[in-house]
Amino acid sequence: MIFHPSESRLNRFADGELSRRLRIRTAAHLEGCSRCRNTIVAIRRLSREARVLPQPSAPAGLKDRILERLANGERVILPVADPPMPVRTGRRVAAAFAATAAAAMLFTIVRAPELASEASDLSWFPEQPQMGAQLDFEYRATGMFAGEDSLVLRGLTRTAADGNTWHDNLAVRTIGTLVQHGTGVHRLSVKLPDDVVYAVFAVEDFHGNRVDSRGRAFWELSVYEDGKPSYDALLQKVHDLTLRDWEGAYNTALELVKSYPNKPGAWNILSSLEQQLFGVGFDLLTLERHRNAFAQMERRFDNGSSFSNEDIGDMYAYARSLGKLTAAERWLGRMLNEVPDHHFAKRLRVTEAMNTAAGKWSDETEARLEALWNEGGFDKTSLAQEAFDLALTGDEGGAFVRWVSRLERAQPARVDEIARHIATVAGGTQVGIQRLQSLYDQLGSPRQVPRSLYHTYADHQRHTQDRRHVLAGILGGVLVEQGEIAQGLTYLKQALEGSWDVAMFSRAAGVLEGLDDTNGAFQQWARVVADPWIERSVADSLEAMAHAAISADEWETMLETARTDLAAHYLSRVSLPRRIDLEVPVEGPDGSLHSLGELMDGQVSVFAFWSRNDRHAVQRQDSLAEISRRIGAYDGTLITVVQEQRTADWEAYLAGEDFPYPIYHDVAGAASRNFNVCYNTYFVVDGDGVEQSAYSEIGDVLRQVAALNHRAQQAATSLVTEEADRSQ
Amino acid sequence: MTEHGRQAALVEGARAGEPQAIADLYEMFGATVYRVALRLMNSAADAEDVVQDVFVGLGRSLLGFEGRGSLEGWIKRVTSRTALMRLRRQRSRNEISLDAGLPAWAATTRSSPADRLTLERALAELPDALRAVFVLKEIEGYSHQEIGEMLGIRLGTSKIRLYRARKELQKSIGERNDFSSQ
Repeated sequence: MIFHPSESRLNRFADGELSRRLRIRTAAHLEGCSRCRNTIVAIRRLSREARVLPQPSAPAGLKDRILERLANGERVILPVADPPMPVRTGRRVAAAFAATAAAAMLFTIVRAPELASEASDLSWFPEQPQMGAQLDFEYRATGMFAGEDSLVLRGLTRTAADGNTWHDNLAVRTIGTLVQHGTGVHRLSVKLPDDVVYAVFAVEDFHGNRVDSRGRAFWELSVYEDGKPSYDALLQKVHDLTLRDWEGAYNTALELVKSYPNKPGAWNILSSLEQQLFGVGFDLLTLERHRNAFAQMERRFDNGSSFSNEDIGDMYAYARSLGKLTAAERWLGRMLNEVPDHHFAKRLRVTEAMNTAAGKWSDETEARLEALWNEGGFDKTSLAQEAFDLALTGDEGGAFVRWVSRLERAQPARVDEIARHIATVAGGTQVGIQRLQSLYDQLGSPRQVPRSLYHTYADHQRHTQDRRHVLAGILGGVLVEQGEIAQGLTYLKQALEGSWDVAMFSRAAGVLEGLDDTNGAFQQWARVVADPWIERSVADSLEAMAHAAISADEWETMLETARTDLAAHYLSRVSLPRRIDLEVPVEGPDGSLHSLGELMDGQVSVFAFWSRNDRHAVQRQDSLAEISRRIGAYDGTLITVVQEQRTADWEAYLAGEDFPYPIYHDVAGAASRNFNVCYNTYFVVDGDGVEQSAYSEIGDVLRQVAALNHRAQQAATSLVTEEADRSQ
Repeated sequence: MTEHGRQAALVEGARAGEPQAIADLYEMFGATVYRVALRLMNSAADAEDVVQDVFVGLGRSLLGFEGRGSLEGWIKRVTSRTALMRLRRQRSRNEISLDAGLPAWAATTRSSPADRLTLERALAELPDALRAVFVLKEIEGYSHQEIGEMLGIRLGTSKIRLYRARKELQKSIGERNDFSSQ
């Protein structure tokens, strides 16, 4: 659950009155929240319109009336001084605005140290392979794979042509079988395909029951040229890390620019990432540096340096990303003339085709879009999505199915999002409903669904099942809206049994109420009340409704069932739970060292690893604050760990913020290694130090704590009952 | 003669009680003074009274003008204070303007697009305290510090009133957050 900035803060943001730190944090939230973004738009629009209101004209003859009064000797005493301020006790509200010189801000990005090969390691020879090299892999196994004669090496490879495709949307392949050679060593020799520039690997047993993904960091391979990773290798590494490891992506982009300072593509990707990570802080922090880099590259071009076709397109994209519209127009012209097949040029043709279509599907539009699709050479995701949105306007079921199938193939990791989009665009149509049913059926066979590189087979089954339940909820909602109540309820019930989605519970309660199924409706309301994120006022209202409609005992039973459902859904989410080393130290705000066990004090604990340099983590700080407020009710504790050192800059940052929870520092990366952290993420550990969930979504951690608390209470109740039975 | 020089001469003339100096100052700043007064008072009749008071009392009050900052800014502040004082007196006497309830500006403006008329109407319907802050901040460009000093309120109070004014205006105008996100 995301918490929104207050109205006051949004107003201050719109007026440019926030401190730099709050501005960055708020901007980070706005990037992902259309509701708050719309509020800012509305405030600014109102201000703009107020400033251009027409000027009223003074009535005629006013001057004469003034002069007449003067001639009559009238005297008026005007208030030339401001009235005295009322005297009040209490704190003065201080202005929050602070101007900071952009050039003075330096970020220290401290990457968590490379995860130590404490137990397992995958290496290869040559260590710096060139394209198409023959690779000799060697894997040193951990206790997890003790006794295995052979293991499977799986991997995901990237070529320059993969562009900015996300990691999750590329196919994972079996590279080969690692065969045991001596104790604890497995080997495999395989040729790297000629066009592969970057790859990531994980090792698993034959059935996929145990996976060593190096804590989801994988083992990474880049091809080398002239003694350094090639430009395409580093670029593909950035694209692969984006979304799954922001800090890693950023550090790689910095390396790319350092190694290839004359490549506009390098600067462009760095600029994009910095805008993603820093939000509006980008303008303050690094825009000037980029403008200088852009100017230098333009000078090189004007002085006759040769630019590759790729560079020309990248200069266009870079100019646009820096807001240099005149320069962008110039480079656009060059690109269209000299490199009409550049992927940016092709994307522009997609935009042009859509603009020409003007919201209506036609044979001509279809022909243009088909031609673009078949040409390829660019990221076709947005083409598929826009095409299938448009196809329905022509009542063209066949075209819609063609394009949505293409999107499903291009983005297998986003099946649920695609389903939501289908429900929005085509929810009221037969073809849309059929498509949703087909997606639902597809997810019924986990073996037919691609398994990610880090999931065991059990994780994959559960993950696929979760997605299937979400789809059932979407499909059920669509059918109910179309009046297919019985069929819709069947799907909804599957979704309700298999997932925990408060919005869906509320919708289902409404449907059941409409069908006069009072008990059914209140069973769903009970689940809403049992959710640990529920606002107290909402819970009170629902409980009052319940007490008016059903008996107190019935309601209590429903609540208890709901809590048990929550626990069942959120417990045991890790197929290979690890025991965390509770002796690992972290450094407190005052510099003192504490072991993880001391901080946990036997309680269920949420560990939140975060970094102020990642605005996605910054964006979640309000949620963390809310967790810190609520977790005590479930006998849990929140421990946040930052992956940077205590420096003067850090202390200054802390002084300007108001964190309601303590922040600890990772000491030499020990805590990160303990959890196998490779990016900002959240873990839940029970009182015995056993990891109960890993890499969780922040909205889920509180539910996991509530689930563990409920299990502990049930265990305690059982114990009391057993003892009572025994004593009788 | 420079504009500054001309203004300085008019100020001297007004201080000396010369009607022509007042007339010339009216030509220079009358429209501005009327605009500020009308937006604060929300009544053409009351706005005219304020304008008259300002120029009738200008000669004497200019004795307090030290030449720091612009003359226009100084006169606008005096106008704002005069209007606000009158509003306070009206509130305490429960006076209702004869043309209250009408969109005062609509009667005096030239043709305006429908949405601006809507904003004008909505602004006219705002409570005085909220309208004053909104007008002074968003239209006249004063800072919250200055507004606080003029209205005798704290800086924080000025901000809160502005935010409430915005919210009320958006509600009145019927703004809906239906922008597509790009």
